[in-house]
Amino acid sequence: MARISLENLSKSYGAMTVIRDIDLRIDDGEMLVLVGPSGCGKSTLLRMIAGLETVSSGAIRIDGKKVNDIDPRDRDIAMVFQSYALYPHKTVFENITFGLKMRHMRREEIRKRADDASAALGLDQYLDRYPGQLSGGQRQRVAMGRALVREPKAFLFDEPLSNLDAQLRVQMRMEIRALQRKLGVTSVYVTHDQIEAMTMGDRIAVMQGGDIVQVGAPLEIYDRPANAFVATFIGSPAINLFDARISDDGQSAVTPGGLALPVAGAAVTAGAPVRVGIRPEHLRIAPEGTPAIVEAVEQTGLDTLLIARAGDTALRVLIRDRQYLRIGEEVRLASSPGDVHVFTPEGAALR
Amino acid sequence: MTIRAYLTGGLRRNGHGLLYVAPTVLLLVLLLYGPAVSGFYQSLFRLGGAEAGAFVGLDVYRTVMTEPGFGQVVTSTALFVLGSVICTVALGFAIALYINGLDEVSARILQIWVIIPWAISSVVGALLFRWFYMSDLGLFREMLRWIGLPAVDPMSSGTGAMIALILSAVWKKLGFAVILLLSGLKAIPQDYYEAARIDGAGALQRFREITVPLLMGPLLISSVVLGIADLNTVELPLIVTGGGPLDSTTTVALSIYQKAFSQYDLQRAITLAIITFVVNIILVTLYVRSVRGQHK
Repeated sequence: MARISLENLSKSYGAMTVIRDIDLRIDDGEMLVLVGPSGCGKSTLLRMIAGLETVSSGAIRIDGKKVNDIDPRDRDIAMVFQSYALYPHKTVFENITFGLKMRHMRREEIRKRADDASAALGLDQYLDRYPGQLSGGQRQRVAMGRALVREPKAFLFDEPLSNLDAQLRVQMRMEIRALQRKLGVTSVYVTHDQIEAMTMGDRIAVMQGGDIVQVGAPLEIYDRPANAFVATFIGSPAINLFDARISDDGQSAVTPGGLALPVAGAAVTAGAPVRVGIRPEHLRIAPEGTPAIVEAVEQTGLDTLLIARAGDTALRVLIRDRQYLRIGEEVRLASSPGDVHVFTPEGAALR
Repeated sequence: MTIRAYLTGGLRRNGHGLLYVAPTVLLLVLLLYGPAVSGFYQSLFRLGGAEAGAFVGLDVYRTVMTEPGFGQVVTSTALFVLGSVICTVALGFAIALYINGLDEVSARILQIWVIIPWAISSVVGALLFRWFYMSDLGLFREMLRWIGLPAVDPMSSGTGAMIALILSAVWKKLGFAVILLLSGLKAIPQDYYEAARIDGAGALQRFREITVPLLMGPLLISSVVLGIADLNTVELPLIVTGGGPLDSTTTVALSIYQKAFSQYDLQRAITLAIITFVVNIILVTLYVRSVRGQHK
């Protein structure tokens, strides 16, 4: 178990900077999720912590000790790869225990740890098989097992679930989270999937273009996004976001198409141009609302997603129950001031 | 399944496929299997002399294999084939590992550099070596002189001639081994090495635990292909050493050539050729197995 801290960490390849001056502290036993779109630098950052990428400037510390120039094998971390990176010519048992063998651990101890890990992951039956004979989910477990037996200071996960089908992914993310909680091992988990980030992280660090743009608990990030990018990236279906202007009384933001959203309480100036966002589930059908025409209806069985057009603005509206609406029908959409996110035209949150 | 059912059912199902492979099969039958079978058939009869045409069965095989020269030919062939295969694959592996660690441009230049001997006509290549080793004005002698060693004529001893012959074979086929092994190395995902580094494996352990086992397929395949090529090469021993001194570098392929075309002893030439053919088939079976093993 360990505390990991990143101090003014940067990484560049020639003139291209891929990690920009990152400061981040990961607490003992915490699961921190690095999330962001492709190319945001999240995997590079993880690989830097692992020691697979060099550091251009700044420091990585594990339990206070600077590890910039320490070989991956001596950092006492374990990593689960997106591809699983299971050795195809070794059996499940040999794969799981490879790291222990390399560290010259005693045979009985290796056996015991392998048994414990395979029992925890339900791999007992498969120890003599080769990775090629396993399903995707089983391979994923073997990759987990290889990390578990090491009993490392920290786990690093590089999109470990992205090669699984949707159902298995949901199951595995719960299992991984439960296991991590039980063992209390500090973990850094990289994903591009915001649902995975929301459900697995104690905290989430949202990355964009080599920067961490916001760090916080999942719901905090969801409720108070630091900028328009975070607001868009976190949440599905995605937030409705459009250009608007603050009305003269400072009480609402009005889109060019005439849709008005209440913004009381936000730090806004009358007449100022802004970007406003409202999450689909924060729009509700109410008699006092703005009229809009239903353009599309998607029923999931659990809830109803509408695309409704108010003036020239198309809005995603998520309704928590079944609504039998027809395309072309008029609905009235209302929202509450606390639910509207206001950003500067450049995207920074105004509060 | 009866043969009739197989033929009609198989033809209906695989009609197209059969059509496509027919030209190749026909060519192979005409140019390879036909002559091989006919050669074997002829080797069962006396081919010349007073008793020409008489059936002798496997008598000639017995004679050929018990003649005093036969053991020498087998030894020379084995030495030459094993020596050049082991040296080529080992050196090729080392060079492939080195190239694999280079940047793209240097890697490409070096690849072209090592493949050139492979592309040169083998007669030309063999002649180069013949001149290289020439006792009075060869480059080899000059090179020895530069580093202050006494002039040695490698062709004056059996061992020297065999080493010289193996060297020329290695030079000729090294590029092939390098390219094959390099592509094998490139096919090993980088992830395996990274996972092993995190698991605590040092460079030597990564080489032993990952590179070597995952490269077994290409290593086997290149060994067998090179073995077949070395077993059947005539021009290399013919031109570089001429089989000498005292038949010490006369491989079976050269021996067949000499018996057929300088001694006009077709009987022995055919018999030896059939024996070599069988060895070749064994090697090809090994090759097919190692290819299949790789795709598992």
